[in-house]
Amino acid sequence: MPIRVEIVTPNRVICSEEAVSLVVDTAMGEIEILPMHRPLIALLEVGSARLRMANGAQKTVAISSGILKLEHDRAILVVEEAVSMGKLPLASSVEEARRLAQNALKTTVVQGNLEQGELECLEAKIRSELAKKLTK
Amino acid sequence: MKGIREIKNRIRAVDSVSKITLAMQLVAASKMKRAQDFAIESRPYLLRLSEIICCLSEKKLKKNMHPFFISREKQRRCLIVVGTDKGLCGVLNHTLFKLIPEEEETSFISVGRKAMQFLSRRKRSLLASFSIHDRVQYHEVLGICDLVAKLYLEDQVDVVEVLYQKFGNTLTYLPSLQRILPMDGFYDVFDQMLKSANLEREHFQRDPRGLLWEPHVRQIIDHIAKIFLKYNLHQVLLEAKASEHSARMVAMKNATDNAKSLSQSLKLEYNKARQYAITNEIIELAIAATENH
Repeated sequence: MPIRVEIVTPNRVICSEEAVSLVVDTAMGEIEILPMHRPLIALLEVGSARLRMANGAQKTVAISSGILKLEHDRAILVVEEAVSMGKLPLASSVEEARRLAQNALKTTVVQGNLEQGELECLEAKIRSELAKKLTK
Repeated sequence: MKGIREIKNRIRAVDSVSKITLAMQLVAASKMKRAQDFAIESRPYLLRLSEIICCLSEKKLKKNMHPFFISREKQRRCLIVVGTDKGLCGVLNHTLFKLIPEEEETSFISVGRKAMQFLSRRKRSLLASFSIHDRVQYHEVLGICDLVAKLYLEDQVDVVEVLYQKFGNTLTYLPSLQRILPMDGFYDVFDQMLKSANLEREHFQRDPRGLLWEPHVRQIIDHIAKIFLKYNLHQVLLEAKASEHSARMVAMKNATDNAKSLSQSLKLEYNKARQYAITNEIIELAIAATENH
């Protein structure tokens, strides 16, 4: 029987899911909660709540201090602030940044490979523009 | 019948008023949506918190007394009145202020300019006056919280209550008086919350194995006492804001509708007056023509 995990902040309910195991940092140290755990009320330290689902998936939620209540396999984490790590587009944003960098590199390489003649032509154009501006 | 020019001026005035009220209605509508979402989404937090507090048996509370949980014999009241900053929101403030008790010894803390004006006009003992931003900020709540806790701990007041408009839906707001200190009536508060969330108390049956408190009940009570006061007030302010914006939206919508119907009847009157003038002119012409013959 899974544990129903609810993480509630003053702004909204961050997560309400069924998990087979929940690992949290309490004032007494890190504890893992499995189904049929003894009823418990504990102070939570700033840290993370790690949930493992029945299908093996993991979910991590960063939490601030608060209180945990566990009874009848229903774990409630009442915290002041929480951020679901899955929602942070960390991996995707890193990928995106990498892709952008590579693109940029490619395009600069293309520009750097301008032929000598073309370069001279450009330079001449810029000079003539400058001269025009100066004479005005 | 009034002059044509006069009616025309009135139509113009009414139309411009309806334009203004329509704009205000739209502004209030967008603010209303946000305020309502905030108020509704933060309700579960308080419910869960009071669920935890309800695990504290009376025996435990007595053994680990926190001043916030002790009710006193004396009953000097301090009332936080949550009004609005601006007007034009129908009878919202009026219905709330009607509930302000007449007892002389009650001291007040006002939130919102309208509440301050009302209390100072009545020469009540106003201790402090706060103003809250449309989007309720935590530091604003903390200010009120600190003051209230200080007054209570320094023994200047014995009961702290808050009077505000509880948000029901866009059309209904309930003026409510809620005690926030001392926090001894938890079971009542919890039952009320359950009722509003459509849940039964049996839903939260005790586990026979008994609760384990880590690290110690005392520390947990201290923590709860600190945050419950803060978030209780926070929730109250969110509800009050949601009611305010809803009331303003409805009031402005009514004003716009009234202005439109007034403008329509004025236009009818204007057309009648114009027709009357034209008919008169034709009659005069006709008379003049027959006299000339």
